[in-house]
Amino acid sequence: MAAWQAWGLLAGATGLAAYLFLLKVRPRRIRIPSLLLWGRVLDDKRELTLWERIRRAVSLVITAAIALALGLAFLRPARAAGTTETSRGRVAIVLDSSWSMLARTRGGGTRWDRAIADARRLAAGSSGGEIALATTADGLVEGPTNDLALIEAALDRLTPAGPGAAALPRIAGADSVYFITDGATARPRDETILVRSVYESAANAGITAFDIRPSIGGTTAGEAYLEIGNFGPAQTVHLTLDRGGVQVLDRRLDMGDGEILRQTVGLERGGDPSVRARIEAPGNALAIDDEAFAWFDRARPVAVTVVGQQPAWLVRLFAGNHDVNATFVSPDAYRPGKEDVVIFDRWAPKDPAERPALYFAPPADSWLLADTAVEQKPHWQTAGTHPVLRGVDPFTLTIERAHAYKSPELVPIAQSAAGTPLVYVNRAKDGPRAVVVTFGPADSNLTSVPALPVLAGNALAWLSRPLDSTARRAGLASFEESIVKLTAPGGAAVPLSRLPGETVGVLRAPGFYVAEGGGGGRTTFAVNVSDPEVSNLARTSAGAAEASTPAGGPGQRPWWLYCAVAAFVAILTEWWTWLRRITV
Amino acid sequence: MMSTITWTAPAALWLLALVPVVFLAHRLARTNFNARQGLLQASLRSLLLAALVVALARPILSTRSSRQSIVYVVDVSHSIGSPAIETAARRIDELNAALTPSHSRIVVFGANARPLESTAALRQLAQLDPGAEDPTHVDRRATDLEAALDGARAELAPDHIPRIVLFSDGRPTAGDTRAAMARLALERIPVSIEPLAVRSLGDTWVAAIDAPEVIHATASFPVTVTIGSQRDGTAQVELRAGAKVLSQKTATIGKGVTAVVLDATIDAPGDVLLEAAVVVQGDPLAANDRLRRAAWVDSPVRVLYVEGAPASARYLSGALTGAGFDVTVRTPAALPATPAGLDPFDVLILSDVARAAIPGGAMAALPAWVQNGGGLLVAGGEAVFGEGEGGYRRTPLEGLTPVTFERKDEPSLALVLVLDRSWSMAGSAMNLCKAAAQAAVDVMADEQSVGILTFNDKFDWDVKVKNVGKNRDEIREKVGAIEPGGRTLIFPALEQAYLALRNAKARAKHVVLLSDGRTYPDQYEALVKKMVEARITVSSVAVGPSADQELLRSIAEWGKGKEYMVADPKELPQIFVKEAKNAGTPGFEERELRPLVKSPSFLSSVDLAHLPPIQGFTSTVMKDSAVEVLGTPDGDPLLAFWPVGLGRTAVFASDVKNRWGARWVEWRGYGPFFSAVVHAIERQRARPAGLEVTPGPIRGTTRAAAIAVEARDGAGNYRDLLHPIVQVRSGAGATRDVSTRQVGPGRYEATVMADAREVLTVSMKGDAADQAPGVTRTIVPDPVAEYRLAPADEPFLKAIATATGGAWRPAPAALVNAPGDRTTDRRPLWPILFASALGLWFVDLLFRRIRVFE
Repeated sequence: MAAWQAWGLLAGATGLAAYLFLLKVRPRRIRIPSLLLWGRVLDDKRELTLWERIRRAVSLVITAAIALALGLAFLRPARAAGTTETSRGRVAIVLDSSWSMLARTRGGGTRWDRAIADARRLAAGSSGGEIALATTADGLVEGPTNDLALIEAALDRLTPAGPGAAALPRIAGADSVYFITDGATARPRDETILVRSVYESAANAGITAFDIRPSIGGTTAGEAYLEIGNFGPAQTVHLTLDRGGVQVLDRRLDMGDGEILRQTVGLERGGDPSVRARIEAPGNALAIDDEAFAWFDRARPVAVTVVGQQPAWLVRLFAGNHDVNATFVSPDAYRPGKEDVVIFDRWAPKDPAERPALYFAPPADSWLLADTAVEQKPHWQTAGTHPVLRGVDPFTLTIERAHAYKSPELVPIAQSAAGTPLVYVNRAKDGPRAVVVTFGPADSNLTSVPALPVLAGNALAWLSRPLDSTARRAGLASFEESIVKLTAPGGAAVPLSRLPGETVGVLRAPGFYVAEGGGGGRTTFAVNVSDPEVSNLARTSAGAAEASTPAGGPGQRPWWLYCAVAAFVAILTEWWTWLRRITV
Repeated sequence: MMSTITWTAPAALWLLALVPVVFLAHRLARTNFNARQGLLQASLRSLLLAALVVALARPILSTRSSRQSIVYVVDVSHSIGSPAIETAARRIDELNAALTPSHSRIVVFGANARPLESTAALRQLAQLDPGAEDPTHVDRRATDLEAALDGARAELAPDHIPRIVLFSDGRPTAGDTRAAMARLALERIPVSIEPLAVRSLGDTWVAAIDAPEVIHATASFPVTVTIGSQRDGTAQVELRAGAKVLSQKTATIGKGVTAVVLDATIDAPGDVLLEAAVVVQGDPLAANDRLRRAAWVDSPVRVLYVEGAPASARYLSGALTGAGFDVTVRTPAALPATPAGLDPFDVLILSDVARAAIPGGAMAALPAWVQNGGGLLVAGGEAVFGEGEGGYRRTPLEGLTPVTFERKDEPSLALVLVLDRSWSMAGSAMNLCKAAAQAAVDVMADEQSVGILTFNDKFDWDVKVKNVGKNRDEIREKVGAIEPGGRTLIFPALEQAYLALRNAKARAKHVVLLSDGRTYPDQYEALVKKMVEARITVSSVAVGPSADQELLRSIAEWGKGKEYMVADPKELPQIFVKEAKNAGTPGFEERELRPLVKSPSFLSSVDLAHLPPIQGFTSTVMKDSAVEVLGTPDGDPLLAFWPVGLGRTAVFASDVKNRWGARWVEWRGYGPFFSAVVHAIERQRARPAGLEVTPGPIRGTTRAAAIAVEARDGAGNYRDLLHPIVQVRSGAGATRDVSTRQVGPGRYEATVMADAREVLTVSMKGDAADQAPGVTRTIVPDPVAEYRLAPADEPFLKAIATATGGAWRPAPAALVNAPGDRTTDRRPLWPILFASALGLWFVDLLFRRIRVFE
């Protein structure tokens, strides 16, 4: 609606309300005694009170004001962005949804509130052109549309969702692109993009790095690295570290202005694998970086059941391996249990195992359907990129014979020069994982070569944990193809999509995520903010030349909503006063 | 049609609880309207308030819709020819005519994306000269599929069933197509694909340069230059590093791609830019005839070559030096005695080194050095191997090698002592000779065989060739009974020895001829050579100055044995014992044989099909799990490999010199063969500080590069709390230092933004660089990637269709809505409700000013 039309509508509504108010109510015709009539006339001769004198005028004003408020709520006007209207044509509004936008401002709101308020102003000033709304985390979220109400609704539901893509979302055909940001995360951007800053410096303390990695040398099973930054005046930061809810560290750190504290902590085997670091500080404008998470996968050994008649070679393999807790049973005594992985040594059940399984030279009468063809002295040819083969050195492996299997669920990942599969994995995404090695210790020098511990270690890791548990960053994340479910910290499922060779999903919030592979393998991994760019609220990459939005109120609701609320209150109140003849 | 309402602010609905207040208040009214009008007024006011409350909750009405929005995305980058764009326009018209979607748009893209009005505009664009100014403002010098797909996503009408049809050759040069695919897949927006043909100019270009991951300075390495061409022809392919031409070759190229392998050598370690160029006559486009890529060149592989016969070291030393190895030749005595002494070297070659020649400390140092990654090659020769004191049997070195130095078919020796018992030997010489023969018998193993043949002018078998074991005393006794007499006649005795051993079952057959006099000339040379052909070796012992030293020396030479000139007969026992031991222990066989290839793919870079014959080899036994690459027809290993800890060892059972390997040293594959063997066992030196640079996608003219430094100490422990700094240089610009920050144990990261058109060089600095000085990584842009006119990448395009649920070459039927395809048409209701409330306010006012129901 054009401005003159809006003004006309408001004037018309107000005028019509006034006109209706000024209509005289036709008095009810009743017969009364003349004495009573004259008695009333004599009564009216007394002096009117002030309220009685202004009552009608006040009533008129209230009536018109209600009409005006309702008109404004219908028209949803907004102050034009800046001093001029935004460009005509298609307008793209891109909101920086980095976590730093959650920083509290002196006005009591957040940078995000200011960004939303600014986006509303821009949308309102778009002069009827199409508006597209995008965020750095989600890309295009609404539009392009002429319907301002849809933009309003979208702005209502948006929240900061982490770093997102490094580049700004692109809106084809946009005549003007506004990027509303605090400049905490530097992004490459086109010169034509109009940056609107919501930056306001704030003091903050945050965890800027936290991760656990397994030790290779050394005496501990793992090592945690923790970094805390104090981006503001000197203050005392209270740090706690807990493992599975049990506090393992409680320290008060006197940190100077801009001080970065870095610390490593050795982790012993055993205990809970979930580790959380938490800080509290008085000068702390951002809450989301006060907690960080890490998952120590090697805290718990992989439970393995070895089923076979002659498992001595596997006994030797797992002896002294703290990452594997192996139990050895004969085929007759084997009952499926809750082990992480079953190893079938030259024996296999008639039906596929209910748990992830590693098979060495399974016999012909198993579910794997051995082919009668046996290749003598096969030469391992394919290097293979599958995680089970990573680092396996076929150089040292001499194989006397290898079997082929016919099960349609098996996919070879390593083959001989003649094409005989040497290692299979199963393709079924909804059943337990399986790795089948087509030769055993009697068919090869497997027991004495470095390839065995690497192959077995890889296979156990792949079978028991569908992902590695290294901390990941928020945003679009890539997972193995076999991941079928990803659960976010709140318990909600993360939507996944399958791309060639990978599964992708968007990690939005910090915390522990659980990834599940087809067939029950589960891995927990952590997502953290852990970014000085987010935690350091005293710096911005948005230059001084770039427009700074006026500090809005703490609320992010449009002001016409307050008109509607006022109208509601006025209509309700006026009903009472009119009934009681306080107003007319 | 199913409709649902969603509430933007549902909490506002709590205000509905106040609406009944209107009726409660009505009971206390002082107005004088009749009851029915009063009720009407209360109802109107309630309705007005309810409308306001509902509007404050901001409802959105969602209705199911099957309206379709199709965006056609057409690649108009320079690699796409005009006919292909016109084909796309025709397909769009066909699809639109068949589908009649509610909404459709056309987006054209190159480095950026722009909407286009119609297919007519697209056809006009197709006719434009590639260099002409484009009215659509599409930058056609690159292909950014991410921009295209994002642009298409933005053009889709809201609340419509989305369809994107992508017309492209699928050769992006910028952007992150994977990310765009992921976003569309997550939003369930299918992208159907129409592959477009590339511009056909009859052009030839360099498509790729592939070099080994590890390149050593001064060592030859293969570089595969892939040439793409739109026609058959002959091309001159050249490989350069800076101004230096590394290699060039003329190759016949065909339509499609042709891989040309060039051998190159870089002189100095460090970062180099390899540039491949192709020259073809009549090539229409010169810009794409060159391509650059970065390569990191390590220091040369350092080889310590210890040769037992230093005079013969020149063959292997020369070959390895020529192949770029840094070879140090030493004698066995100079072998370092500690692992630290060996550490500067990546590979140790022990060639024809006798056990006794290796210092004790060096022998002890070898296992630790190999365990820590050192490479060890043991090459054969006469001086090596064996069971006895002089052999490697049961030594630490045997524990490292893929073979054992035992004789696999012992008893192995048949020894005939041919002793002169002429008059001249009488006295102490004869006695010492008999004692020497007895001592030799004493040191022989039970299962070995011995014969004693004495001669003067005739010969006698004092002991016929028999097993030593239970006959030892008897043999000693018969030796003791030998008496001197007569003249010296060697030939018949030697011939008898030949006849006795010719058919004997033994791996080693050896004759020791002892004489102190002169004999008649005869066919000695012919006889001894016949003996050698029968694998019988002959050593000779000349006692005293009267002996026919020249003949005896010649016999030893012809017989491939040893010659001894003995002035004092007291030396005889020692010589006989040595001969008896060595005859049983050398474990070598001297005969010509052609090696058999057991693992053809093992040394894939070597022409194993044309291996020359060897003249001899040392007999060993393979360890169970070693890898045998070459062997003899009899099953003896010739070349075998074996892992030991972090290191690898190999045994080449023949020699690397001009004796057994006389034909090998002349073979042109000699150098490449041993280069491959040495490369197979060379130490893999892990860098304590690793530098990774991962280039991000190009966006506009910039790209981000993620830098990661992995810092560990020699034992693999993380190095924490460092401050690694990386030096970053973009193009010819100034170098700037970038601090990395620690993100986890031993891991440091940084991100830099760089001009995507410039070469980006990143090198280590700071406290993590001390163990990896000079490590550099380089990202080389390809500014003319758009003009490498490879045909459409159909697998990649199909992957986009599969990932997003789109169709390949979609027929109209593939784009129509499926039965369940519905989208949601959303309409906000609150503006209507506010308008209704305003209207109700007027009505409310009206019913307070007029009287009804009276």
